[in-house]
Amino acid sequence: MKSIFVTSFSEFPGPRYIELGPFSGELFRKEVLLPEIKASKGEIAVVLDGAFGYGSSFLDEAFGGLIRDGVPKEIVLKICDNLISEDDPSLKLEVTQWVKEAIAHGEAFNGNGN
Amino acid sequence: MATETNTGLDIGSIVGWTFAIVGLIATLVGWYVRGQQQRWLAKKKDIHDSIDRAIKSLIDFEDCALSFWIDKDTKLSQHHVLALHRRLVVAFKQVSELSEKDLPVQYISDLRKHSTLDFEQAKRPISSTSPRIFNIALASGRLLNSSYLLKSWKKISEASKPR
Repeated sequence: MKSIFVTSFSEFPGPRYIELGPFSGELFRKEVLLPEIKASKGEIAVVLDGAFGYGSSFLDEAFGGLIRDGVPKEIVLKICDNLISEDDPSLKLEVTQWVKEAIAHGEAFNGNGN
Repeated sequence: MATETNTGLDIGSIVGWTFAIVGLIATLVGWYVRGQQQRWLAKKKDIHDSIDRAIKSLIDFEDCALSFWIDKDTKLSQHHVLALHRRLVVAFKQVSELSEKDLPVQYISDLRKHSTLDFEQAKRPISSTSPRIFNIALASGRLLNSSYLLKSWKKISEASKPR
């Protein structure tokens, strides 16, 4: 399993969208997570430790955005399970909640149980 | 010729040694018990001090988050909110380590969510009666009132039982 360190992207994770500022959740998803998921077939462990701090919008956009981008929920939930966050264990819970919310929202929007 | 026995001397010696050994054991047991009590008291004091620091960090965070969202001319930035949230997590982890209680991750997560969600793009200041403000105060209050921050003189394993 490949480890992805958020600090390699930035020690100061930024806002939700690219246009709102540097090192956004959207940029992290598009430039780091999606290519790594594709390359490693979802076998990645994202390490959140070492960063200054995370705004909830970064977390939602980076991880919940994977569901909205069409990554299968099984893969995203596995990424949530493999998250490493020793500095702040509440981050793992929050990321998982954002992902589950995105799944529920997607299912409600599509009107199916997939 | 009658022989003199040493029996009296021997009994006295045995009794003397017995008292000495019993006294020594009692002293050692006393030292041990006292040492255990002192360790327990020191640990309880450490736990209570860490709870005080956690309460202060929670109050500081709540004040900062509320000022960030409500005050018109606040000098507090997003970085202040994130920095204080990190201090809060460190303080709570210290309580968790000392008191062997699980970190209240749901409350900590709720606090971050209500305080930082879209804080880079949302319009400020907001009304002090807006849902976000209620949610920050509610999440903070739940944490403050939780058994996690309750000082107790019960044994640590008893005090950490979920309520």
